[in-house]
Amino acid sequence: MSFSRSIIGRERMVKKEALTENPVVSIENIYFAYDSQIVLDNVSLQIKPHDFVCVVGPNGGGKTTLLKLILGLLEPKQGSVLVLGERPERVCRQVGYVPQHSHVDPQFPASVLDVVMMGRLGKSRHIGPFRRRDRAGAKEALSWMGLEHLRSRSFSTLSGGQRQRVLIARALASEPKLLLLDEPTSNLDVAAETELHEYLDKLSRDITVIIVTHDIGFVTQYVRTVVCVNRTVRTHPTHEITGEFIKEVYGSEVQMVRHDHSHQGGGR
Amino acid sequence: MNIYWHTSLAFTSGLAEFFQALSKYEFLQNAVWAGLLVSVAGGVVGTYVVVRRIIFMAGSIAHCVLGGIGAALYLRRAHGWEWLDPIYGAVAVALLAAVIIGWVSMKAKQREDTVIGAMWAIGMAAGILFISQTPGYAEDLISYLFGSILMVTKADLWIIAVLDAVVVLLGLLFYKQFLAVCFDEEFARTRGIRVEFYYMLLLILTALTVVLLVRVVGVILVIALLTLPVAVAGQFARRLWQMMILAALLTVLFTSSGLALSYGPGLRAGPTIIMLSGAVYLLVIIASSLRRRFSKIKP
Repeated sequence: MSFSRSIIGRERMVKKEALTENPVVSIENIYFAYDSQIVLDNVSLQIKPHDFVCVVGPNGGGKTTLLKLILGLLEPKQGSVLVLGERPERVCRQVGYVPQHSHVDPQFPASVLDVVMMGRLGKSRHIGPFRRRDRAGAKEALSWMGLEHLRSRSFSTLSGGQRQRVLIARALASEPKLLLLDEPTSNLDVAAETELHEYLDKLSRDITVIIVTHDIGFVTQYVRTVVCVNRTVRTHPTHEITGEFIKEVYGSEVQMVRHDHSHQGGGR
Repeated sequence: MNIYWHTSLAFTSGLAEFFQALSKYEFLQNAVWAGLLVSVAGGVVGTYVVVRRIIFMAGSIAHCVLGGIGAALYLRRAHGWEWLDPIYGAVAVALLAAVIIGWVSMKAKQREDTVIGAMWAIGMAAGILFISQTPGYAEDLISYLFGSILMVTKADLWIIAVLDAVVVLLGLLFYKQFLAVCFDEEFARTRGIRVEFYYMLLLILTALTVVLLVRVVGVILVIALLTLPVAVAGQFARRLWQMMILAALLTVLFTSSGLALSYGPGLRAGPTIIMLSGAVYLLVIIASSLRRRFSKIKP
Protein backbone atom coordinates (compact mmCIF):
# COMPACT_ATOMS: atom_id res chain seq x y z
CA MET A 1 0.00 0.00 0.00
CA SER A 2 1.70 3.15 -1.06
CA PHE A 3 0.31 6.62 -0.75
CA SER A 4 1.82 8.03 -3.95
CA ARG A 5 4.60 10.45 -4.67
CA SER A 6 3.13 13.16 -2.55
CA ILE A 7 3.45 11.05 0.56
CA ILE A 8 6.96 9.94 -0.25
CA GLY A 9 7.96 13.54 -0.76
CA ARG A 10 6.33 14.46 2.47
CA GLU A 11 8.04 11.61 4.26
CA ARG A 12 11.41 12.99 3.28
CA MET A 13 10.39 16.41 4.46
CA VAL A 14 9.10 15.07 7.77
CA LYS A 15 12.33 13.14 8.30
CA LYS A 16 14.26 16.35 7.87
CA GLU A 17 12.02 17.98 10.45
CA ALA A 18 12.57 15.05 12.75
CA LEU A 19 16.31 15.55 12.57
CA THR A 20 16.02 19.05 13.88
CA GLU A 21 13.43 17.79 16.39
CA ASN A 22 11.32 20.91 16.18
CA PRO A 23 8.09 20.09 17.95
CA VAL A 24 5.03 19.73 15.72
CA VAL A 25 2.87 21.18 18.45
CA SER A 26 4.26 23.53 21.05
CA ILE A 27 1.90 24.82 23.72
CA GLU A 28 3.19 27.22 26.35
CA ASN A 29 1.33 28.10 29.52
CA ILE A 30 -2.13 28.38 27.99
CA TYR A 31 -5.23 29.17 29.92
CA PHE A 32 -8.72 28.65 28.50
CA ALA A 33 -12.23 29.16 29.88
CA TYR A 34 -15.77 29.02 28.49
CA ASP A 35 -17.30 32.08 30.12
CA SER A 36 -16.37 31.60 33.76
CA GLN A 37 -15.74 27.87 33.62
CA ILE A 38 -12.02 27.18 33.52
CA VAL A 39 -11.25 24.29 31.19
CA LEU A 40 -7.48 24.41 30.81
CA ASP A 41 -5.31 25.97 33.45
CA ASN A 42 -1.66 26.79 32.76
CA VAL A 43 -1.11 23.97 30.28
CA SER A 44 2.14 23.33 28.44
CA LEU A 45 2.70 20.55 25.95
CA GLN A 46 5.27 19.59 23.33
CA ILE A 47 4.60 17.01 20.65
CA LYS A 48 7.48 15.67 18.58
CA PRO A 49 7.28 14.73 14.91
CA HIS A 50 6.20 11.14 14.12
CA ASP A 51 4.72 10.66 17.52
CA PHE A 52 1.49 8.73 17.99
CA VAL A 53 -0.16 10.57 20.84
CA CYS A 54 -3.28 9.62 22.73
CA VAL A 55 -5.16 12.28 24.64
CA VAL A 56 -7.18 10.82 27.51
CA GLY A 57 -9.14 12.23 30.41
CA PRO A 58 -12.63 12.41 31.88
CA ASN A 59 -15.63 14.02 30.16
CA GLY A 60 -15.45 17.78 30.30
CA GLY A 61 -11.79 17.57 31.20
CA GLY A 62 -10.75 19.65 28.21
CA LYS A 63 -9.65 17.06 25.62
CA THR A 64 -11.66 18.46 22.72
CA THR A 65 -10.84 22.01 23.80
CA LEU A 66 -7.16 21.18 23.57
CA LEU A 67 -7.74 19.77 20.07
CA LYS A 68 -9.63 22.86 18.97
CA LEU A 69 -6.87 25.10 20.26
CA ILE A 70 -4.37 23.16 18.15
CA LEU A 71 -6.71 23.50 15.15
CA GLY A 72 -7.07 27.23 15.67
CA LEU A 73 -10.85 26.90 16.12
CA LEU A 74 -10.45 28.39 19.60
CA GLU A 75 -7.96 30.91 20.88
CA PRO A 76 -6.36 30.65 24.31
CA LYS A 77 -7.14 33.44 26.76
CA GLN A 78 -3.47 33.42 27.73
CA GLY A 79 -0.33 31.69 26.50
CA SER A 80 0.65 30.56 23.02
CA VAL A 81 -0.01 27.67 20.68
CA LEU A 82 2.38 26.99 17.84
CA VAL A 83 1.74 24.29 15.23
CA LEU A 84 4.56 23.43 12.82
CA GLY A 85 6.27 26.52 14.20
CA GLU A 86 3.42 28.90 13.27
CA ARG A 87 0.12 30.17 14.55
CA PRO A 88 -2.56 27.45 14.12
CA GLU A 89 -4.84 29.39 11.74
CA ARG A 90 -1.92 29.90 9.34
CA VAL A 91 -1.08 26.23 9.05
CA CYS A 92 -4.55 24.74 9.49
CA ARG A 93 -4.51 23.50 5.89
CA GLN A 94 -1.64 21.17 6.79
CA VAL A 95 -3.51 19.74 9.75
CA GLY A 96 -6.06 17.00 9.15
CA TYR A 97 -9.09 16.86 11.41
CA VAL A 98 -11.60 14.11 12.09
CA PRO A 99 -14.41 15.57 14.21
CA GLN A 100 -16.70 13.64 16.48
CA HIS A 101 -19.23 11.94 14.29
CA SER A 102 -22.31 13.63 15.75
CA HIS A 103 -21.70 16.92 13.89
CA VAL A 104 -23.03 15.90 10.52
CA ASP A 105 -26.63 16.10 9.27
CA PRO A 106 -27.48 12.51 8.27
CA GLN A 107 -29.98 13.68 5.62
CA PHE A 108 -27.52 15.82 3.73
CA PRO A 109 -27.52 15.12 -0.02
CA ALA A 110 -23.86 14.36 -0.66
CA SER A 111 -21.99 11.39 -2.09
CA VAL A 112 -19.06 9.82 -0.29
CA LEU A 113 -16.68 11.36 -2.80
CA ASP A 114 -18.30 14.80 -2.26
CA VAL A 115 -17.54 14.52 1.42
CA VAL A 116 -13.95 13.41 0.94
CA MET A 117 -13.37 16.20 -1.59
CA MET A 118 -14.04 18.71 1.17
CA GLY A 119 -10.64 17.73 2.50
CA ARG A 120 -9.16 19.27 -0.67
CA LEU A 121 -10.68 22.69 -0.07
CA GLY A 122 -7.55 24.44 1.16
CA LYS A 123 -5.55 22.94 -1.72
CA SER A 124 -7.82 23.80 -4.63
CA ARG A 125 -8.57 27.09 -6.36
CA HIS A 126 -11.00 29.53 -4.81
CA ILE A 127 -13.49 30.01 -7.62
CA GLY A 128 -15.17 27.31 -9.65
CA PRO A 129 -15.26 23.54 -9.28
CA PHE A 130 -12.54 21.23 -7.96
CA ARG A 131 -9.69 20.26 -10.27
CA ARG A 132 -8.92 16.81 -11.57
CA ARG A 133 -6.00 16.36 -9.21
CA ASP A 134 -8.26 17.15 -6.25
CA ARG A 135 -10.57 14.39 -7.39
CA ALA A 136 -7.61 12.04 -7.76
CA GLY A 137 -6.34 12.92 -4.28
CA ALA A 138 -9.74 12.30 -2.76
CA LYS A 139 -10.07 8.93 -4.51
CA GLU A 140 -6.65 7.95 -3.27
CA ALA A 141 -7.55 8.84 0.30
CA LEU A 142 -10.70 6.74 -0.06
CA SER A 143 -8.79 3.72 -1.31
CA TRP A 144 -6.35 4.18 1.58
CA MET A 145 -9.32 3.63 3.89
CA GLY A 146 -10.58 0.71 1.78
CA LEU A 147 -13.73 2.54 0.73
CA GLU A 148 -13.16 3.10 -2.98
CA HIS A 149 -16.16 0.96 -3.91
CA LEU A 150 -18.46 3.25 -1.92
CA ARG A 151 -17.49 6.52 -3.54
CA SER A 152 -20.75 7.11 -5.46
CA ARG A 153 -22.90 6.01 -2.55
CA SER A 154 -24.90 8.57 -0.68
CA PHE A 155 -23.17 9.52 2.56
CA SER A 156 -26.45 9.25 4.44
CA THR A 157 -26.91 5.57 3.57
CA LEU A 158 -23.63 4.46 5.15
CA SER A 159 -23.32 2.72 8.49
CA GLY A 160 -21.82 4.58 11.44
CA GLY A 161 -18.48 2.85 11.07
CA GLN A 162 -18.31 3.52 7.33
CA ARG A 163 -19.10 7.19 7.89
CA GLN A 164 -16.33 7.42 10.41
CA ARG A 165 -13.86 6.00 7.91
CA VAL A 166 -15.11 8.42 5.26
CA LEU A 167 -14.44 11.31 7.62
CA ILE A 168 -10.94 9.97 8.21
CA ALA A 169 -10.44 9.75 4.44
CA ARG A 170 -11.61 13.37 4.21
CA ALA A 171 -8.90 14.38 6.67
CA LEU A 172 -6.28 12.36 4.75
CA ALA A 173 -7.31 13.96 1.45
CA SER A 174 -5.81 17.21 2.68
CA GLU A 175 -2.39 15.50 2.87
CA PRO A 176 -1.80 16.56 6.45
CA LYS A 177 1.48 16.65 8.34
CA LEU A 178 -0.44 16.37 11.56
CA LEU A 179 -3.65 14.37 11.96
CA LEU A 180 -6.08 15.03 14.82
CA LEU A 181 -8.88 12.57 15.55
CA ASP A 182 -11.61 13.26 18.09
CA GLU A 183 -13.09 10.02 19.44
CA PRO A 184 -12.71 8.23 16.09
CA THR A 185 -13.61 4.82 17.52
CA SER A 186 -16.93 5.82 19.05
CA ASN A 187 -18.95 4.21 16.24
CA LEU A 188 -16.69 1.29 15.45
CA ASP A 189 -16.92 -2.31 16.53
CA VAL A 190 -13.89 -3.90 18.13
CA ALA A 191 -12.51 -5.37 14.89
CA ALA A 192 -12.80 -2.07 13.05
CA GLU A 193 -11.29 -0.28 16.00
CA THR A 194 -8.25 -2.53 16.03
CA GLU A 195 -7.89 -2.07 12.28
CA LEU A 196 -8.04 1.69 12.65
CA HIS A 197 -5.39 1.71 15.36
CA GLU A 198 -3.09 -0.46 13.26
CA TYR A 199 -3.65 1.84 10.35
CA LEU A 200 -2.90 4.95 12.40
CA ASP A 201 0.20 3.24 13.74
CA LYS A 202 1.41 2.75 10.18
CA LEU A 203 0.48 6.31 9.29
CA SER A 204 2.44 7.70 12.21
CA ARG A 205 5.67 6.64 10.53
CA ASP A 206 5.04 9.42 8.04
CA ILE A 207 3.08 12.01 9.98
CA THR A 208 2.24 12.92 13.54
CA VAL A 209 -1.03 11.52 14.87
CA ILE A 210 -2.99 12.78 17.88
CA ILE A 211 -6.06 10.84 18.90
CA VAL A 212 -8.58 11.74 21.59
CA THR A 213 -10.28 8.83 23.26
CA HIS A 214 -12.23 7.69 26.28
CA ASP A 215 -10.95 4.28 25.75
CA ILE A 216 -7.75 3.92 27.68
CA GLY A 217 -7.76 0.17 27.15
CA PHE A 218 -6.35 0.47 23.65
CA VAL A 219 -3.92 3.20 24.45
CA THR A 220 -1.05 1.09 25.61
CA GLN A 221 -1.01 -1.20 22.59
CA TYR A 222 -0.26 1.29 19.85
CA VAL A 223 0.46 4.81 20.97
CA ARG A 224 3.82 6.03 22.11
CA THR A 225 2.81 8.98 24.25
CA VAL A 226 -0.18 9.50 26.50
CA VAL A 227 -1.39 12.98 27.33
CA CYS A 228 -3.74 13.16 30.31
CA VAL A 229 -6.01 16.15 30.27
CA ASN A 230 -8.08 17.20 33.25
CA ARG A 231 -7.77 20.98 33.58
CA THR A 232 -4.05 20.41 33.69
CA VAL A 233 -2.02 18.26 31.32
CA ARG A 234 0.53 15.58 32.04
CA THR A 235 2.51 13.68 29.45
CA HIS A 236 3.71 10.12 29.87
CA PRO A 237 5.53 7.68 27.65
CA THR A 238 3.32 4.62 27.19
CA HIS A 239 5.48 2.27 29.28
CA GLU A 240 4.71 4.32 32.36
CA ILE A 241 1.01 3.52 32.11
CA THR A 242 0.01 1.10 34.83
CA GLY A 243 -3.23 0.11 36.48
CA GLU A 244 -2.44 2.42 39.37
CA PHE A 245 -1.95 5.31 37.02
CA ILE A 246 -5.25 4.70 35.24
CA LYS A 247 -7.05 4.72 38.55
CA GLU A 248 -5.43 7.99 39.42
CA VAL A 249 -6.58 9.66 36.19
CA TYR A 250 -10.13 8.33 36.10
CA GLY A 251 -10.83 7.53 39.72
CA SER A 252 -13.30 4.69 40.14
CA GLU A 253 -15.01 5.33 36.79
CA VAL A 254 -12.48 3.38 34.83
CA GLN A 255 -14.46 0.20 34.14
CA MET A 256 -17.49 2.15 33.00
CA VAL A 257 -15.45 4.36 30.74
CA ARG A 258 -13.66 1.45 29.16
CA HIS A 259 -16.74 -0.39 28.05
CA ASP A 260 -19.20 2.34 27.31
CA HIS A 261 -18.92 2.91 23.57
CA SER A 262 -22.39 4.21 22.90
CA HIS A 263 -22.50 7.04 25.39
CA GLN A 264 -20.44 9.91 24.02
CA GLY A 265 -21.32 13.19 25.62
CA GLY A 266 -19.21 16.26 26.12
CA GLY A 267 -18.64 18.15 22.90
CA ARG A 268 -15.73 20.07 24.41
CA MET B 1 -69.30 11.35 -13.26
CA ASN B 2 -71.10 14.28 -14.68
CA ILE B 3 -69.38 16.66 -12.30
CA TYR B 4 -66.04 15.12 -13.15
CA TRP B 5 -66.74 15.53 -16.84
CA HIS B 6 -67.70 19.15 -16.33
CA THR B 7 -64.64 19.98 -14.29
CA SER B 8 -62.27 18.37 -16.71
CA LEU B 9 -63.99 20.08 -19.59
CA ALA B 10 -63.72 23.42 -17.83
CA PHE B 11 -60.11 22.56 -17.04
CA THR B 12 -59.13 21.79 -20.63
CA SER B 13 -61.01 24.71 -22.06
CA GLY B 14 -59.32 26.90 -19.43
CA LEU B 15 -55.92 25.64 -20.53
CA ALA B 16 -56.80 26.15 -24.19
CA GLU B 17 -57.84 29.67 -23.36
CA PHE B 18 -54.49 30.22 -21.64
CA PHE B 19 -52.44 29.04 -24.61
CA GLN B 20 -54.48 31.12 -27.02
CA ALA B 21 -54.01 34.17 -24.83
CA LEU B 22 -50.31 33.39 -24.41
CA SER B 23 -49.67 33.84 -28.10
CA LYS B 24 -51.65 37.09 -28.10
CA TYR B 25 -50.82 38.99 -24.93
CA GLU B 26 -47.41 40.29 -23.97
CA PHE B 27 -48.22 40.38 -20.24
CA LEU B 28 -48.72 36.61 -20.25
CA GLN B 29 -45.48 36.05 -22.10
CA ASN B 30 -43.72 38.28 -19.58
CA ALA B 31 -45.27 36.30 -16.75
CA VAL B 32 -44.01 33.02 -18.20
CA TRP B 33 -40.54 34.49 -18.69
CA ALA B 34 -40.49 35.83 -15.14
CA GLY B 35 -41.43 32.38 -13.85
CA LEU B 36 -38.62 30.76 -15.86
CA LEU B 37 -36.02 33.26 -14.70
CA VAL B 38 -36.80 33.22 -10.99
CA SER B 39 -36.96 29.43 -11.00
CA VAL B 40 -33.25 29.12 -11.66
CA ALA B 41 -32.30 31.28 -8.66
CA GLY B 42 -35.02 29.61 -6.60
CA GLY B 43 -33.66 26.12 -7.32
CA VAL B 44 -30.04 26.98 -6.59
CA VAL B 45 -30.50 29.16 -3.51
CA GLY B 46 -33.56 27.31 -2.20
CA THR B 47 -31.44 24.15 -2.05
CA TYR B 48 -28.79 25.87 0.07
CA VAL B 49 -31.52 27.34 2.29
CA VAL B 50 -33.12 23.96 2.89
CA VAL B 51 -29.95 21.97 3.58
CA ARG B 52 -28.47 24.72 5.76
CA ARG B 53 -31.82 24.90 7.58
CA ILE B 54 -32.31 28.64 7.37
CA ILE B 55 -35.87 28.59 6.03
CA PHE B 56 -37.03 30.66 8.97
CA MET B 57 -34.43 33.33 8.14
CA ALA B 58 -35.60 33.41 4.53
CA GLY B 59 -39.16 33.90 5.77
CA SER B 60 -38.11 36.78 7.97
CA ILE B 61 -36.28 38.45 5.10
CA ALA B 62 -39.36 38.00 2.90
CA HIS B 63 -41.64 39.77 5.33
CA CYS B 64 -39.13 42.58 5.83
CA VAL B 65 -39.21 43.06 2.05
CA LEU B 66 -42.78 44.34 2.41
CA GLY B 67 -41.41 47.19 4.52
CA GLY B 68 -39.01 48.13 1.73
CA ILE B 69 -41.68 47.91 -0.94
CA GLY B 70 -44.08 49.97 1.17
CA ALA B 71 -41.51 52.68 1.88
CA ALA B 72 -40.58 52.92 -1.81
CA LEU B 73 -44.24 53.12 -2.87
CA TYR B 74 -44.93 55.78 -0.26
CA LEU B 75 -41.97 57.93 -1.27
CA ARG B 76 -42.87 57.54 -4.91
CA ARG B 77 -46.55 58.42 -4.67
CA ALA B 78 -46.68 60.79 -1.70
CA HIS B 79 -43.39 62.59 -2.30
CA GLY B 80 -43.01 62.25 -6.04
CA TRP B 81 -39.80 60.17 -6.11
CA GLU B 82 -40.69 58.84 -9.53
CA TRP B 83 -37.41 56.97 -10.09
CA LEU B 84 -37.90 54.82 -7.02
CA ASP B 85 -39.21 51.51 -8.30
CA PRO B 86 -40.51 49.36 -5.42
CA ILE B 87 -38.01 46.65 -6.35
CA TYR B 88 -35.13 48.94 -5.27
CA GLY B 89 -36.74 49.34 -1.87
CA ALA B 90 -37.23 45.59 -1.74
CA VAL B 91 -33.57 44.88 -2.60
CA ALA B 92 -32.24 47.43 -0.10
CA VAL B 93 -34.35 46.21 2.80
CA ALA B 94 -33.76 42.53 1.96
CA LEU B 95 -29.99 43.08 2.02
CA LEU B 96 -30.23 45.03 5.27
CA ALA B 97 -32.34 42.29 6.85
CA ALA B 98 -29.89 39.61 5.66
CA VAL B 99 -26.93 41.46 7.16
CA ILE B 100 -28.71 42.01 10.49
CA ILE B 101 -29.82 38.37 10.71
CA GLY B 102 -26.33 37.16 9.77
CA TRP B 103 -24.73 39.39 12.34
CA VAL B 104 -27.15 38.37 15.07
CA SER B 105 -26.72 34.66 14.40
CA MET B 106 -22.93 34.87 14.31
CA LYS B 107 -22.01 37.50 16.84
CA ALA B 108 -24.72 38.85 19.11
CA LYS B 109 -25.53 36.97 22.26
CA GLN B 110 -29.29 37.10 21.68
CA ARG B 111 -31.62 34.23 21.01
CA GLU B 112 -31.41 34.12 17.26
CA ASP B 113 -34.96 32.96 16.57
CA THR B 114 -36.40 35.70 18.77
CA VAL B 115 -34.66 38.36 16.72
CA ILE B 116 -35.67 36.72 13.44
CA GLY B 117 -39.30 36.51 14.56
CA ALA B 118 -39.31 40.13 15.68
CA MET B 119 -37.91 41.32 12.33
CA TRP B 120 -40.48 39.19 10.53
CA ALA B 121 -43.38 41.02 12.19
CA ILE B 122 -41.86 44.50 12.31
CA GLY B 123 -40.97 44.48 8.61
CA MET B 124 -44.49 43.42 7.74
CA ALA B 125 -46.08 46.02 10.03
CA ALA B 126 -43.94 48.81 8.56
CA GLY B 127 -44.92 47.73 5.04
CA ILE B 128 -48.62 47.74 5.79
CA LEU B 129 -48.44 51.16 7.48
CA PHE B 130 -46.55 52.67 4.53
CA ILE B 131 -48.92 51.20 1.95
CA SER B 132 -51.99 52.30 3.91
CA GLN B 133 -50.64 55.87 3.93
CA THR B 134 -49.90 55.80 0.20
CA PRO B 135 -52.55 57.57 -1.87
CA GLY B 136 -54.62 55.34 -4.16
CA TYR B 137 -54.21 51.73 -5.18
CA ALA B 138 -55.62 49.57 -2.39
CA GLU B 139 -54.94 46.70 -4.77
CA ASP B 140 -51.19 47.18 -4.20
CA LEU B 141 -51.19 45.56 -0.79
CA ILE B 142 -52.85 42.37 -2.01
CA SER B 143 -50.53 42.12 -4.99
CA TYR B 144 -47.40 42.45 -2.85
CA LEU B 145 -48.74 40.02 -0.29
CA PHE B 146 -49.80 37.36 -2.79
CA GLY B 147 -47.82 38.11 -5.92
CA SER B 148 -48.46 39.94 -9.15
CA ILE B 149 -46.79 37.92 -11.84
CA LEU B 150 -49.31 39.15 -14.43
CA MET B 151 -48.15 42.75 -13.92
CA VAL B 152 -44.50 42.07 -14.82
CA THR B 153 -43.39 44.49 -17.54
CA LYS B 154 -40.53 44.23 -20.06
CA ALA B 155 -38.50 46.63 -17.89
CA ASP B 156 -39.15 44.46 -14.82
CA LEU B 157 -37.97 41.44 -16.75
CA TRP B 158 -34.59 43.08 -17.31
CA ILE B 159 -34.14 43.80 -13.60
CA ILE B 160 -35.22 40.25 -12.79
CA ALA B 161 -32.78 38.84 -15.35
CA VAL B 162 -29.83 40.80 -13.96
CA LEU B 163 -30.55 39.88 -10.33
CA ASP B 164 -31.10 36.30 -11.36
CA ALA B 165 -27.76 36.15 -13.19
CA VAL B 166 -25.90 37.59 -10.19
CA VAL B 167 -27.48 35.14 -7.77
CA VAL B 168 -27.01 32.06 -9.92
CA LEU B 169 -23.44 32.95 -10.87
CA LEU B 170 -22.32 33.53 -7.27
CA GLY B 171 -24.28 30.52 -6.05
CA LEU B 172 -22.53 28.22 -8.54
CA LEU B 173 -19.00 29.72 -8.55
CA PHE B 174 -18.65 29.07 -4.82
CA TYR B 175 -20.53 25.78 -4.91
CA LYS B 176 -17.77 23.80 -3.22
CA GLN B 177 -17.39 26.30 -0.39
CA PHE B 178 -21.15 26.52 0.18
CA LEU B 179 -21.39 22.73 0.14
CA ALA B 180 -18.66 22.44 2.76
CA VAL B 181 -20.06 25.22 4.95
CA CYS B 182 -23.56 23.72 4.82
CA PHE B 183 -22.31 20.20 5.49
CA ASP B 184 -19.83 20.79 8.29
CA GLU B 185 -19.04 24.36 9.23
CA GLU B 186 -16.31 23.50 11.68
CA PHE B 187 -14.41 21.29 9.27
CA ALA B 188 -14.69 23.95 6.56
CA ARG B 189 -13.10 26.39 8.98
CA THR B 190 -10.16 24.05 9.55
CA ARG B 191 -9.57 24.06 5.79
CA GLY B 192 -9.02 27.79 5.88
CA ILE B 193 -12.49 28.62 4.50
CA ARG B 194 -13.80 31.95 5.80
CA VAL B 195 -17.03 30.50 7.08
CA GLU B 196 -18.53 33.83 8.21
CA PHE B 197 -17.98 35.32 4.77
CA TYR B 198 -19.72 32.48 2.97
CA TYR B 199 -22.54 32.36 5.50
CA MET B 200 -23.16 36.07 4.98
CA LEU B 201 -22.91 35.67 1.21
CA LEU B 202 -25.47 32.87 1.39
CA LEU B 203 -27.86 35.10 3.33
CA ILE B 204 -27.37 37.87 0.78
CA LEU B 205 -28.11 35.49 -2.10
CA THR B 206 -31.15 34.31 -0.16
CA ALA B 207 -32.31 37.92 0.21
CA LEU B 208 -31.98 38.60 -3.53
CA THR B 209 -33.76 35.35 -4.38
CA VAL B 210 -36.58 36.24 -2.03
CA VAL B 211 -36.98 39.59 -3.82
CA LEU B 212 -37.19 37.77 -7.15
CA LEU B 213 -39.76 35.27 -5.90
CA VAL B 214 -41.87 37.96 -4.22
CA ARG B 215 -42.71 39.20 -7.70
CA VAL B 216 -44.30 35.84 -8.50
CA VAL B 217 -46.03 34.73 -5.31
CA GLY B 218 -45.80 37.66 -2.87
CA VAL B 219 -44.13 38.01 0.52
CA ILE B 220 -46.44 35.66 2.39
CA LEU B 221 -46.16 32.71 0.03
CA VAL B 222 -42.49 33.10 -0.84
CA ILE B 223 -41.13 30.51 1.61
CA ALA B 224 -43.34 27.89 0.04
CA LEU B 225 -42.01 28.53 -3.46
CA LEU B 226 -38.46 28.59 -2.12
CA THR B 227 -38.70 25.31 -0.22
CA LEU B 228 -41.46 23.05 -1.61
CA PRO B 229 -39.70 22.33 -4.92
CA VAL B 230 -36.49 21.61 -2.99
CA ALA B 231 -38.36 19.36 -0.59
CA VAL B 232 -39.79 17.40 -3.52
CA ALA B 233 -36.37 17.28 -5.19
CA GLY B 234 -34.84 16.08 -1.92
CA GLN B 235 -36.90 12.89 -2.17
CA PHE B 236 -35.08 11.97 -5.37
CA ALA B 237 -31.74 13.76 -5.48
CA ARG B 238 -28.71 12.20 -3.85
CA ARG B 239 -26.27 15.04 -4.38
CA LEU B 240 -26.59 18.75 -3.84
CA TRP B 241 -26.27 19.75 -7.49
CA GLN B 242 -28.87 17.19 -8.53
CA MET B 243 -31.19 18.71 -5.96
CA MET B 244 -30.59 22.16 -7.45
CA ILE B 245 -31.33 21.13 -11.03
CA LEU B 246 -34.40 19.16 -10.05
CA ALA B 247 -35.68 21.94 -7.79
CA ALA B 248 -35.22 24.53 -10.55
CA LEU B 249 -37.10 22.35 -13.05
CA LEU B 250 -39.90 21.78 -10.56
CA THR B 251 -40.15 25.52 -9.87
CA VAL B 252 -40.48 26.13 -13.61
CA LEU B 253 -43.16 23.45 -13.76
CA PHE B 254 -45.07 24.82 -10.77
CA THR B 255 -44.96 28.49 -11.81
CA SER B 256 -45.91 27.96 -15.44
CA SER B 257 -48.57 25.34 -14.83
CA GLY B 258 -49.94 27.33 -11.89
CA LEU B 259 -50.17 30.31 -14.18
CA ALA B 260 -51.90 28.29 -16.88
CA LEU B 261 -54.36 26.73 -14.45
CA SER B 262 -55.26 30.03 -12.84
CA TYR B 263 -55.86 31.89 -16.10
CA GLY B 264 -59.07 30.25 -17.33
CA PRO B 265 -61.13 30.47 -14.11
CA GLY B 266 -59.57 33.86 -13.29
CA LEU B 267 -57.86 32.74 -10.06
CA ARG B 268 -54.93 34.61 -8.54
CA ALA B 269 -51.74 33.12 -9.97
CA GLY B 270 -49.60 33.22 -6.79
CA PRO B 271 -51.84 31.13 -4.54
CA THR B 272 -52.61 28.74 -7.41
CA ILE B 273 -48.88 28.12 -7.88
CA ILE B 274 -48.45 27.44 -4.17
CA MET B 275 -51.48 25.12 -3.99
CA LEU B 276 -50.09 23.17 -6.91
CA SER B 277 -46.62 22.92 -5.30
CA GLY B 278 -48.18 21.91 -2.00
CA ALA B 279 -50.30 19.21 -3.64
CA VAL B 280 -47.30 17.73 -5.44
CA TYR B 281 -45.23 17.86 -2.25
CA LEU B 282 -47.96 16.09 -0.29
CA LEU B 283 -48.33 13.39 -2.96
CA VAL B 284 -44.59 12.77 -3.08
CA ILE B 285 -44.31 12.56 0.70
CA ILE B 286 -47.23 10.12 0.90
CA ALA B 287 -45.88 8.04 -1.98
CA SER B 288 -42.42 7.84 -0.46
CA SER B 289 -43.71 6.87 2.98
CA LEU B 290 -45.93 4.21 1.42
CA ARG B 291 -42.99 2.92 -0.54
CA ARG B 292 -40.88 2.78 2.62
CA ARG B 293 -43.57 0.89 4.48
CA PHE B 294 -44.01 -1.48 1.56
CA SER B 295 -40.32 -2.21 1.25
CA LYS B 296 -40.13 -2.85 5.00
CA ILE B 297 -42.82 -5.52 4.81
CA LYS B 298 -41.01 -7.28 2.00
CA PRO B 299 -38.35 -9.67 3.39
